[in-house]
Amino acid sequence: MVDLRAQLDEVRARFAPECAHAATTQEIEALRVRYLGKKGEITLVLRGMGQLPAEDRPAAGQAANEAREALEAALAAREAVVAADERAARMARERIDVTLPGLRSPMGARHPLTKAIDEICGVFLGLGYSIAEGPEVELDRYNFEMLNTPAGHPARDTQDTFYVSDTVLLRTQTSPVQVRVMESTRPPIRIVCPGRVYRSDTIDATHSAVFHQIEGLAVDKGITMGDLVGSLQLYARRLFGEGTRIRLRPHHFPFTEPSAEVDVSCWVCGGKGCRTCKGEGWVEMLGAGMVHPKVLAGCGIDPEVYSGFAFGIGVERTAMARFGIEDMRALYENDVRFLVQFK
Amino acid sequence: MKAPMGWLRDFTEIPEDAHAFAEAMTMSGSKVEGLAVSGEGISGVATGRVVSVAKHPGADRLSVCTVDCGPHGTLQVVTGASNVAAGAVVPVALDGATLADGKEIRKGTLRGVASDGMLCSIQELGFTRMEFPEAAEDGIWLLPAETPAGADLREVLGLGETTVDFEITSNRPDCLSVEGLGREAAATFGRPFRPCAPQVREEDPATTASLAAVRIDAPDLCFRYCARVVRNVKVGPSPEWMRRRLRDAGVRPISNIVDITNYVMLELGQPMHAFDLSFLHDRSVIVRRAAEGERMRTLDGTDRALDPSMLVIADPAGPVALAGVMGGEHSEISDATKEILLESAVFHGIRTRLTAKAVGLRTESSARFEKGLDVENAPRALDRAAELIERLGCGTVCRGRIDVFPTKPAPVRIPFRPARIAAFLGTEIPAAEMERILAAVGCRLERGAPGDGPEGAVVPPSYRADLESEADLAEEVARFYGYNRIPASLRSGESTTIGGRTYAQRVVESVKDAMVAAGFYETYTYSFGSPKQFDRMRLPEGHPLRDAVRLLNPLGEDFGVMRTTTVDGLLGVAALNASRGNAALRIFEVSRVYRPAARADGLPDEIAMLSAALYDEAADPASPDPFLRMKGALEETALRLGIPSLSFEPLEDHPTLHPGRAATVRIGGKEAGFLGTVHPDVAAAYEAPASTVLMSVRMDALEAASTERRAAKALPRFPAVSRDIAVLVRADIPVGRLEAAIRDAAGPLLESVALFDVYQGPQVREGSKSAAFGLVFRSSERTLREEEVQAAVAAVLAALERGFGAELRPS
Repeated sequence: MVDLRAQLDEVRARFAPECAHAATTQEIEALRVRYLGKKGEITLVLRGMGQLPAEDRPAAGQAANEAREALEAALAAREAVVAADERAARMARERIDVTLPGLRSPMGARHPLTKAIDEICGVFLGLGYSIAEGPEVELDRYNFEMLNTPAGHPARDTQDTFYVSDTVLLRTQTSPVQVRVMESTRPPIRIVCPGRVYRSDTIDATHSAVFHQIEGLAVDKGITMGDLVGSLQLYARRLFGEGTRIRLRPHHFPFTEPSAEVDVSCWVCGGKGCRTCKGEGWVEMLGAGMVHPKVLAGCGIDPEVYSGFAFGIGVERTAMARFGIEDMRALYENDVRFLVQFK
Repeated sequence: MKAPMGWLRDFTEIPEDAHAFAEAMTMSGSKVEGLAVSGEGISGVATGRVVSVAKHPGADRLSVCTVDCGPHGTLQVVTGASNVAAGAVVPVALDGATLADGKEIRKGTLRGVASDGMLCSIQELGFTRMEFPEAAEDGIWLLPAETPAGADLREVLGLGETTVDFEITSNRPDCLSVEGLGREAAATFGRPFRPCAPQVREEDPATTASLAAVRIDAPDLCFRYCARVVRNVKVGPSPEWMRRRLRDAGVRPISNIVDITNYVMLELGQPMHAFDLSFLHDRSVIVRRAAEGERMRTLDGTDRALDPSMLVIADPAGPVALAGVMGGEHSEISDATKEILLESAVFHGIRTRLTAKAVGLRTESSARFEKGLDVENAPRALDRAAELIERLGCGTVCRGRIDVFPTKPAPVRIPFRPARIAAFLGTEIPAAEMERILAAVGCRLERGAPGDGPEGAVVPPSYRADLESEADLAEEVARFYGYNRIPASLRSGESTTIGGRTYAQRVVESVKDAMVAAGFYETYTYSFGSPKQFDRMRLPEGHPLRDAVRLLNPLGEDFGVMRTTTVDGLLGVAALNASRGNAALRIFEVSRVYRPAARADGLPDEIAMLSAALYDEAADPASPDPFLRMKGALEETALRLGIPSLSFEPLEDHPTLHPGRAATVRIGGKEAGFLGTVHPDVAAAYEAPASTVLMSVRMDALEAASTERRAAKALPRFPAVSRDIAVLVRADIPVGRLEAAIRDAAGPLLESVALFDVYQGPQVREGSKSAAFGLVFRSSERTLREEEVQAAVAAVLAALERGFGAELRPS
């Protein structure tokens, strides 16, 4: 009995330093096999138990189990330490240069004009407006006549028109879309009409023969000029920031009465005067007005019952203001180094 | 319209501060474009009398002048001009003076001779002979001999007046006059308005009617013709005050009679004309249409062909003026003129505009007539001219007027409904304030006529033909009440609308999202282009895409046709980017093409297309990758639209595309567009990279096949079994057909098949290729047994062998 204990003590004494020095999980596994395996030293000691007297066996068994458990615990503790070290070492080896460039699937981008159209339409879509579209090659009737601009009207002079025939032209404005909608739809009408328009302007930094407008139209019973002011104010604040103010100046358009040109307080200087607003504090942004009773009547809408407002927004002007684009030609040139800025 | 502030003050009181004035006028609807002060830039320039002129000792071209500058002393000035002689009065820039271009003048020496200042030409003072026709074209400006020496030039010339430049909209011809703007100013500032009320003494005992006759043969084009005869005419310069006002308003002073007609036009907005009566046959004027083939020589010396659409003023011998546009040379006022017929008439606006356009002569006069003038203004303007003639003493005005006035316009009456106007504007402006505003713009409020309504009717003045309806009255009220005092409201009408994008519009959004996600940049290209594009695109004669909408008046040949395809624009963008060193490009647009069509409304079809182009200059020219990249982008776009599959067929005869690298795109069997590498000749014609791949698909085809419905399927519960097979086939067999055969043969357990490798080269037989597919089998009901999978693979291999002579390659 004493003998067996001594044997166990001797084994444990040999084990302790070896365990403490085991540096890898493999060495720990080897120790486990050597001491605790089927032919391991503890096992061998236990085999000697058969020779003990029966009354000593329980105590001896307990001693042997204690020894086994102690060794197992020691190995497990050591293993945890070694594994942690190894993991740390592996992670140290796995270190990467996080400043390497990312692997990308580069996206493209919408064109700045689309972005401007999306933003503008977004404001009005949220107010219950629909988007209406119409032909670009248009009848004179819709582009001019039904907009209270008959043949020979001086207002036609200011819109140099491309003609396809005597009666067909490239629309000079998106307003014909509102005529088409009013002709075919009963009020209430709330639409925005983004689209491409044409004027025979010489192409330069601020003019293009092809450009874009967004026409807005609301027709219903009881629409007032105050509603127009409020809608445009909301629009200006959504597009140019909460503190933006608008200013209406009386103007003349053949298809609205009263008519106004609308200025927006300068989004760069806030109205104090700067280069963007040419020191004025205001930037002219759009034209608007109450739909002319002749236009309503021409579309079969009784102006005694219904009223409406309309406005026209220049998309190029908005995009140039929004993105600080100085030359309109850049919008139609499509140099990808320009386009990449609008991701 | 340029209105000097001093002239405006003839009609009402206006503030001293020009900027405050401009701001208030802009906000009441007379938009101020700019303010100009005459002679603003010049300072330190005095008049000087030349005492003597001597040759410069060291320079042949220079002279040394002694100039008496009054209180500034007698100065010695070196000049290069040769038109200066002793006794001349000239502008002298003193030491420290500033000239119109900002140049400062300092004392100095010129070629060794001291010069105390500089003698100035008209240009150096910022003027042209337009303003001061009597000034020398070259050399020093010689001022009138009686000009005192040593005076400030600004005072001598009457400079320093502020002129306000107004933008006048086409509906307000009454504001093409100083008086009209004065009326607006009076209404804006709430001050009394003093209209022009000419008094003519008519000191000549002869009557106008006995000395001249007027007949209107075209009353549809001439609404009124008033005339007066002036005798004992003395043509000469007009007085400085009148010349100054004309100058400030941008009109060149010429001589008293002409200046008076121009002055009245600027003041009252009524163009006038003066004929030398001695040159009018039978002393009579006939207002008629021009005869076919008739000609006349206008004041500018041009011989003009007329046609019956044009209105002329004629005497029995022929036309003497192109009505409302320009007078004739023959009866022009000259220094010898003794007797004139003054015309003040109203012609048809649109007709005048068309005539002016047809002869290419847009004058101050036609610009006013074309907007429709006031018939009541014509006699008053005539009297104003007569009054000025009397005041200037340049003739005697005969008694009475000729006034031919065939058709009087019916007066306009607009029911006055102040509550309705207030509601329309969204304000609570009281009726009394509306009445005050309407009165200020010249409207009368009348009550009691039938149909007037309880609150009467508004009768607009004759000069406001633009006031026709209640909305027009609302605008008058609003602009003087203040547009910016209208309270903002966010209601718009009584009912609500849901709004939002239509299905087709949402499809466009999805397409753009998908293309952007695939790395494509959206472009905007012009919708018109050169007819030469069809040649560059190799479209043969008679090709349907050559049938384009043509513009009658394009910006130039290069913009003459509406595009029938987007290819031209995309290749242009590709070429531009390549030329600028952009090594790779992916672009797309959703845009319209325009194709002539036999539609009832006469308009072409406008078809929206999804079009794209890409190139990669680093790619191996033999590589199919750019093509496949474009194809993949289109396939992903289709998936985004809920279109399960597209089919692609070789397209060998598209003139613009590479015959071996192009495909027809079909959706549900229907042709929807094409995809392909550009033909090398086309690439060369555009100078676009040879690797450029184009794609163009009809949006309506995509939309028709698309769906927004997405239904989730439960994920599989049983494991999948994968098998890879590699087969050897003839190199020209499209892998798409192999894949289709695999799908057909594999049976219902096949979940997916994907090509993962194609090999052609030394490892396989000449003329063959190896194609490797990954097959995935799965049952939704149970775990598959090995035999089932083996049987399916065997069926696939058998089908491939049968259909394509495929051999299994050992893996």
